[in-house]
Amino acid sequence: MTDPSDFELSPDQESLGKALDAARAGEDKELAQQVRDSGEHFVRLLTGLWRLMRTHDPENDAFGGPVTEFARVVQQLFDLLGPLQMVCVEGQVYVNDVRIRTDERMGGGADLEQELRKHSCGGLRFEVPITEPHVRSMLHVLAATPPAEDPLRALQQGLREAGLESISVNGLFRLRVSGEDAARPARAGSAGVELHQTLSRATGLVADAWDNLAAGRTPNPLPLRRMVNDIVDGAAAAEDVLADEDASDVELGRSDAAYARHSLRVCTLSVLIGVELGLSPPALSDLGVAAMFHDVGYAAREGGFAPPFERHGSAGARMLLRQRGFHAAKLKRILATLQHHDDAAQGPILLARIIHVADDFDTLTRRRTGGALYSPAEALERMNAAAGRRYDPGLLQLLVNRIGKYPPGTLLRLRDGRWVLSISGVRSPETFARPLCRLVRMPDGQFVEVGPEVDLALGGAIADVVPSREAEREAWLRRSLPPRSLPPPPSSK
Amino acid sequence: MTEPAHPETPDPQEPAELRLGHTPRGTAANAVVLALTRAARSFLLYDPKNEAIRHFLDVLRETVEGYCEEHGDLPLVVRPFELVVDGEVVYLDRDRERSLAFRLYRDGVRKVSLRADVTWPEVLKLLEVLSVRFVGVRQTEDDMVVLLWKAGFQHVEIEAVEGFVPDEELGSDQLTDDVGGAGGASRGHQVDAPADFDLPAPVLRSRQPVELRELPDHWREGLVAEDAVSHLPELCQLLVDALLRLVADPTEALEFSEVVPQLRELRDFVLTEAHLPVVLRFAGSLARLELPEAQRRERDQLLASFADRRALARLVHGVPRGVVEAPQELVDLVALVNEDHLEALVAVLEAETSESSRRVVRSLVERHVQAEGEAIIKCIPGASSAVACELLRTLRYVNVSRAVEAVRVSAGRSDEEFESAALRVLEVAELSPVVGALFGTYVNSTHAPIRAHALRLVATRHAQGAFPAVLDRVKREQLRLNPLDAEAYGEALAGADPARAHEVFRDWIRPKGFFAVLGPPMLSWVAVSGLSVLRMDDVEELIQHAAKKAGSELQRHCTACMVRHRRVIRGARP
Repeated sequence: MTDPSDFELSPDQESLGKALDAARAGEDKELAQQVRDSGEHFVRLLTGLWRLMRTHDPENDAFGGPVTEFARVVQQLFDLLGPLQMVCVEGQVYVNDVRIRTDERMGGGADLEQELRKHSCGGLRFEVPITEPHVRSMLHVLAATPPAEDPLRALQQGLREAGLESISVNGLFRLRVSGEDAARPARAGSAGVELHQTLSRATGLVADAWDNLAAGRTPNPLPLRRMVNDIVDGAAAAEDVLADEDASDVELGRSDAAYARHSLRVCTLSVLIGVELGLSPPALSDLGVAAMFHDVGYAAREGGFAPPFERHGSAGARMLLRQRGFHAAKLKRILATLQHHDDAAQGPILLARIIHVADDFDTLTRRRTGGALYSPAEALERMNAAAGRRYDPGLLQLLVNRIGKYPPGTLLRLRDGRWVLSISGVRSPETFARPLCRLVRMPDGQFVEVGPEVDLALGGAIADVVPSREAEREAWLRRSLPPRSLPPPPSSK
Repeated sequence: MTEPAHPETPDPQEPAELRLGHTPRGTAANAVVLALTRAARSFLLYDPKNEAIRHFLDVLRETVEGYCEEHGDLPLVVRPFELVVDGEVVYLDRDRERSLAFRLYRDGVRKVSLRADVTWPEVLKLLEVLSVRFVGVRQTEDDMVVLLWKAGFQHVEIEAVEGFVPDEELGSDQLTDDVGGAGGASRGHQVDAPADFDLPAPVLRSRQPVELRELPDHWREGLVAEDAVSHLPELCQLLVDALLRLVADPTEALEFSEVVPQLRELRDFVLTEAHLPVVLRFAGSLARLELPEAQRRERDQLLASFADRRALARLVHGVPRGVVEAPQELVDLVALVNEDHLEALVAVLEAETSESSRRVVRSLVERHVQAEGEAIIKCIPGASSAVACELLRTLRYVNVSRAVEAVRVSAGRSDEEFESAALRVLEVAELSPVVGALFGTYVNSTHAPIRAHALRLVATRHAQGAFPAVLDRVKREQLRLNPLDAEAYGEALAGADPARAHEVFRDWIRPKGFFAVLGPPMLSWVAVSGLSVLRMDDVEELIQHAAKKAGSELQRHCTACMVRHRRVIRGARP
């Protein structure tokens, strides 16, 4: 045996040792254990109750103990995680994206999945903790024989009728394996559709994250990170989404979740800058998650009120501090949350400087009552004038290089009287000021519902950029009035 | 120090792994997978520093390289308990706790393909991800699929479940408008941001037309480097400063107790990295933080942890090999943290096996020896041999009289290593009754080499105080003495106190009493040896007297001693 004093670590051992130390440092063992234990208990109880229903009526005394216990476990999980989303897929059970260990003696997750599948149901969502009487009501509904037609809708309807509006049901799921999109034949516009789906899910996740942090729970970045990784993978198409604010609005269906849309757009813009810069995918992932959380301080309450602008960064950092375990991403995220409004001259970290550019661009251009402050094109020019002082000039230039002189979402008047909406970033150096557009009004002022693409690289001269208030009016009219009743647009200057 | 291991020997607790594969390729793949499994699982048993881990890594490297050279790509399809290569099962383990296949499958991995040109760092990275899961760590930030995604493999392809989506083929998405899609789409959210969130908007009065401008590569590289792992310690410091600023700001709601867990994590990280400048700045920021009395205790506890045993061990281990002095930052850190560090330093010395690191610790002890001399002296009796010797050596360099005191209070120690170190102290110590008495102590050592060394020192240093002890020892041991011992004792007695020695030797050669002719033979041997180095008039006569009455062996010795004595008289070396 080697004399211990002669034994020096090999570099491989050293790096493995460090990696394990880092992983252990990034673990919140207590929380992970609680979620897993409670989640396992939750699945076991639900499976057991379902089995019991085969032989007993839910009002039977035999249900007493398990029902009480089930209500308690739901409360416990709710305290830890907020609204509960249980998904059964391919024999596995996930609670809020955490895979739950299942008891093989009870058929693992497969039994529960099988029972739910009878209703064409793949998952249940509990918006609030459930009381014991409600547990029994839920069991009644779940035990009912599903109709042959549209069983999922019937299940949801049954829950509503039982007064269980806080429980919603999901359709069936399948596991999504990496690379499967590439293997499938491409559908026209499929990238955009998938990206929109990703983004609409992301807005929901951001809103969930805010709710949980506001309720004093521990931050759980993992679901957002998975989502951000999708955005990173689809970054090539991200600018398309910037062109179309309506998409996330429609999916969200709520005007008061503007913060979620803002977070998402800042994330998308930040990732675009990061890609231009040449950040690695893991670094882009960290950047995206940081951007998702950058304004979370507004979810905090100081004596019942949201913190003022000056303190939303520190309020956000205070919330993020609740996450236990060292991780480089967390460290950068907290710093970015604190520094994302600092001027470049103050020396904020790279992620904060990127998010600052993305954040201000969205703040200046996002739709708000009375219209955006500036059109995307004008916002870029104004930010450009502050480069070096307020913004990192290189990072701003990367954004400019990517989204061009007329960024996606800019409404343009052409010399021939047509109105077009910019829908692309820079496709080549020659198209920096000649984006791909979509026709929104004919020269005679007629509104075009789904207009054809107009590639300004092939022709068409820009008269001017439609100012933001006018563009807002146009967007409002397009959303509110039937096409035929649209008034003529204001004439170009 | 970690437990030594014998990786060749199978663990009796572990069931034998199945050797699978009916083709050469399958067999080779089986060997790769088993090597990977063993290496990943080994972290459950051994510390990463253990020699066994190195062995597992060597085996893994050899098998992977061997496979790739011989068979090219290794496409492993993951099934719940099996790994399959082109339809051939190359791994099977149904034990959920042990099975690599099960862990991969459960975590969503469906295929792992190692390309023939896979590099060793990539294999190592793959092992790292697997090991993290094998040791049961579940990070809040990353799961296995995210870790594999982040690894950015060039020659390892991973097919993994990245989440779940509505199953379109089963027509389940028709209800998503009603009941929401997968992944927690928003419904009934509780939080409303204020309508004017993120306002006031920045005031940007002027405009500057934008243009396409390419940015030089070196500029990009510089910015990307800002985000590199190597900058993490600096980011830690930035966060520490930011958090402490917020704590100190009365307009902010953040309390010190809220940031303590984060500060602990940051401390652990910078200590693991052994990034001394940042550790020092971090501790300095903390020390300067003004807090109400009630919170100071928590701050002080945290501050103390920057130079406790664990912290010092990490920092010392991080000092580059070959550096033997503690870096100034480390010295400053120890000075900044107002604690008694000696115990921690001693503990680090106890645990540290690298000589380079031990020197660094010693240099730290040296710096504190004047102030903490008494404490060090108290530590020595109870410390291990190695550490007691280190401390004694350190004391000897800095303050010999304190080292003598340490030897005195530790005189009860009988370990040879310490006794040897003690003699090295006495070798340079100023002669005094105490030093003399201590020589006497080691003359009675149970270790022959120590006794011999002590006797030599008594002789050469003329340690008068040791005379009684040596004499006592000779009398007690006379029946067991061999000629060499006897010579050493004689010379020691002569060196320690020539006059008294002369008297004693004379009595042994010419014992008083009517019938006495010569003292006990070995005492005569001692006496003749001692007389040979004395410059007294009757030395030759006494030696001749001894020779006349002695047996043949002692006679020869007397002759040799006579010759030696004459050389001494002439001033030559004996």
